[in-house]
Amino acid sequence: MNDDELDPLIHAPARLRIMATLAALHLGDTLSFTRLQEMIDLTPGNLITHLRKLEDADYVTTDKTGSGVASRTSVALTPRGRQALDAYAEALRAVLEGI
Amino acid sequence: MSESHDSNESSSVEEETLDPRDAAVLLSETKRKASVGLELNSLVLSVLGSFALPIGFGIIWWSVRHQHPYQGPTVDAIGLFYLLILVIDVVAVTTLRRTSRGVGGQYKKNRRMLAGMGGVGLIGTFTIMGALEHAHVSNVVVYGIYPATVPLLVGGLIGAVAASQREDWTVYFAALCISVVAAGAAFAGPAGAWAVSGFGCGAVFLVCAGVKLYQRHAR
Repeated sequence: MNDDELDPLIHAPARLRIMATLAALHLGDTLSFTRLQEMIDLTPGNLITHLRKLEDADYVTTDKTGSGVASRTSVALTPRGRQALDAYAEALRAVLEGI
Repeated sequence: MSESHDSNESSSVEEETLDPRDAAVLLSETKRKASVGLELNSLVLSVLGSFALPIGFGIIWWSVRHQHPYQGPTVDAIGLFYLLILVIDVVAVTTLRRTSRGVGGQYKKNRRMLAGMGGVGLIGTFTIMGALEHAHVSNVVVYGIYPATVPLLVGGLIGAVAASQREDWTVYFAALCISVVAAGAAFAGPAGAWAVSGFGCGAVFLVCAGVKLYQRHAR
């Protein structure tokens, strides 16, 4: 197996960190945008862009409550996202074994 | 997405290339950090319980150990005990708030449910104690065996429910052990129940903290 077979959506430093961080949550739990940003140390703009890509692939869901300055966005990994991360980790293991 | 954040830099997001070896390191390191950061600090709470219970229950036991007939804990011992409980509560709540900051969804629903169970359990336990006193039940039960065992029995069961919701089987097993130790302590008599509950449950917390520490390093 070569690294072309690694899911390109996950195989990027920022998105890999987003996915791995959200995978630490229990099923049904969500994480606020602010806490996620603190944990992976990305700028808000970068985080939004990466989250949009992951959301388009149905790997994460975002939910906004409230409006204006009081708005709060929470993020969670979808079951599909969790499966994709597991598959990515499995593929990564296979690639490393082949090196 | 959070509209209050500036997304001007969106267009400048770089797609760095990632070597598979670096990816593996990044994946395991991020997972480890996230698990520690989001863990509801059962390690800290277990360490806290491992010394707080023996000290708190030990204070009570010290005040009643030579009582014949059994009267119950002295006012000084009860005051010190509640002071300790207050300090532990503040530390525990602060720790939980810090680690659970930003975590929502099912976690918040579970927390509300547990708060309800804890409140009813606590009030119910002491209401029954009042009812026993009202019924002129012996001090051996009302101020000895009952308060030294039943709150821990109930607390252990609520802890087991909380741990099962998180699928934290180490804490689940430890919480059940707390209930078992508390139930068994009832056979140690009014003074002995304080000692057996305090030191027995303290030992359970200590073992739980040790297992948690081992699990953290094994990640």
